[in-house]
Amino acid sequence: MRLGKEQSAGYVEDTEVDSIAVDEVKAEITIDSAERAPLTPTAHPSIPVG
Amino acid sequence: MGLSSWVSGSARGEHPDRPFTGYKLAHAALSADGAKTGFAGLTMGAGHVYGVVAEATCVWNSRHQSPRRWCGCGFYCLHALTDALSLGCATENRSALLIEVAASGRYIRYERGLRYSRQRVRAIKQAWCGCGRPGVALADAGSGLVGWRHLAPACDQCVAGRPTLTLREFVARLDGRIRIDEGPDGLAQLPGMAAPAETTAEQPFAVLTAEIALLHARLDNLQARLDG
Repeated sequence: MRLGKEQSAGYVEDTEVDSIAVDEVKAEITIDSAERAPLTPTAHPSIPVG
Repeated sequence: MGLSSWVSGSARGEHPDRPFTGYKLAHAALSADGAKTGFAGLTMGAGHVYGVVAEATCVWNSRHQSPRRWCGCGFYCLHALTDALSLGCATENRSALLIEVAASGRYIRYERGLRYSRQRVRAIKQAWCGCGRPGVALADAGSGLVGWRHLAPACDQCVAGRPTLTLREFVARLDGRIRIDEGPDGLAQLPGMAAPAETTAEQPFAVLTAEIALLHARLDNLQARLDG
């Protein structure tokens, strides 16, 4: 395939893929699931601190 | 490898904020077990099948990253759809699909297109049957690679009796989602050529009937001379 004379060079991110990934992550976070609740601090942490 | 090691000149290190849109030709491919589909290149990339998202590798020298200035490696695409349509007119490219891609990663930009390292196929824009009608399915092209059969577009009339994969079935077996463009610049009639009129199929019979009538008239004339 003949593309003609070279004009420039560089680097570009595939931002369209990134935007899809972000949307999927947001959807995951908004799921109202009881199993995900333990991520919040509890009154009795299993690992002693202090 | 840093960018500065393979680019030079005033345009070193361009950083556009979005990938380029490009157009190219590729052969449709179906895996030997029929479970997966992909795309095969036409020239340098003809020995490999790629999916919806793919990274370019140099087939000659795996020690450098694609595209390298003094090497022909990397994915190729054209800026203009019309240039890709022109490329599709060549005899050896007639059975290829015309696809739209998002070109990203490292790239070298030329007057008519790009060489680049990362590709994402967005859409199938054209798939013409060898007879000139829009292709609605893909049939065995009679060629392929180890593990992959090349598929060629075929219209609803030419697929009769042949095992085929519809374009939608082909897309469903890819490793990602892409569009099938059926709009004005998508799977349309060949530019400058009209669909045949319904009476066209009858024309050969009409011509044959006229020729037989003429032959009869000449025979009558000859008989009349012999009788006279």
